[in-house]
Amino acid sequence: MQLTLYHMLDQPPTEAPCIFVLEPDDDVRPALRDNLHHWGYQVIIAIDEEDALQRAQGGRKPFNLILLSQSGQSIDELMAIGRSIRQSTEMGSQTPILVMADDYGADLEGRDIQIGEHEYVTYLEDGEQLKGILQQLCPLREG
Amino acid sequence: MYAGNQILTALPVDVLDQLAPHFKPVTLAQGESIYRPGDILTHLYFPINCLISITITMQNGAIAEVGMVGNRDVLGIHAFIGSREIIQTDCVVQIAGDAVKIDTKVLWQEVDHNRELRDLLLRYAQAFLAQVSQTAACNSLHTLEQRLPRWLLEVQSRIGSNELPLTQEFIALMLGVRRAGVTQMAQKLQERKLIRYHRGHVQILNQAGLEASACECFKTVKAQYDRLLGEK
Repeated sequence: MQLTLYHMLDQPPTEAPCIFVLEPDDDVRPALRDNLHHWGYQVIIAIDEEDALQRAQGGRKPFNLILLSQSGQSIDELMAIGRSIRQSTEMGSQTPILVMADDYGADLEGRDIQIGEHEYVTYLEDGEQLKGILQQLCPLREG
Repeated sequence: MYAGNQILTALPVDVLDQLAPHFKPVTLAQGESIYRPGDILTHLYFPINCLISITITMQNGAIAEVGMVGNRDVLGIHAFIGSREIIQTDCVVQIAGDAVKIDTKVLWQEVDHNRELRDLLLRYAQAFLAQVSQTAACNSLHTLEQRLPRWLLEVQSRIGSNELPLTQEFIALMLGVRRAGVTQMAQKLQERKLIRYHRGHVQILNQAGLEASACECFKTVKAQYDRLLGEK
């Protein structure tokens, strides 16, 4: 993809926390990446499970959180993918896994639920909610 | 009662007087289905401050919006461009509000012997077809980053308000994308201070900025409506 001035100006510093993202949807991926950059995170993006495992195994850059976007799979299936990504690297088992749910009703909207040790599901009502839970699980350094 | 709808406002006074006894004010609720595929078109609807989406549902259940009808429009152009009065699309209320409806047969009779009315409605049909054609091209050629601002502007222009009571789920359905796409794109527009988005509510903060972010389709359709029906 061609880098625009917006992208170049919006790159976080190299010491910023890094989020490993699995987002299969071409419509969603660019905006999610831009938002994460804008909030100050470095981002590694994979487009499917196979790509994610390859990037995790071959990557030199450590990451601080695994963010998985639900797109057809169950939450359990996504969590299993998250654990595989975590196990395929030297990252500790304490690296948080956060699933962004995609199919949910108004009763769950706005909620963040912990479903295991360092494993969470967020049911977004807006993008600010994602920003908030990332700040909790993967805080940006001051200054 | 009629001032809010551009087509009604443009009707010649004598035609309006003739039709006035037949107009019935209605209040439409969000999510209300006005017509389903196969339904007989019994009434035409002139929205005052509500918005109606025209959608197509594919065999696998996927839905896409192909047109929207607001205060520059009338729902039911079939009634004056042909004799068949069967609807092929879903027509669902997207934003609740008021409209005026009239029996199809009453309007058809008036169209039959009033050239001014017929010309106005045929010009509208042309404008509506321009909207639908542009939407088809937009859906296949433009990115969500361009389509979401365009869609918000289309809604705004058809209800005449910067306050849009819309959930991300509903917007996603209309644009034929996942909810996550709308969430992330709305956040991006919000961080650029073009909109404010919170649960079920979008507020347009910067019209010019939103237009600059949208594809050309909003301005193209607006130009066609302005040309055929006069500026709003």
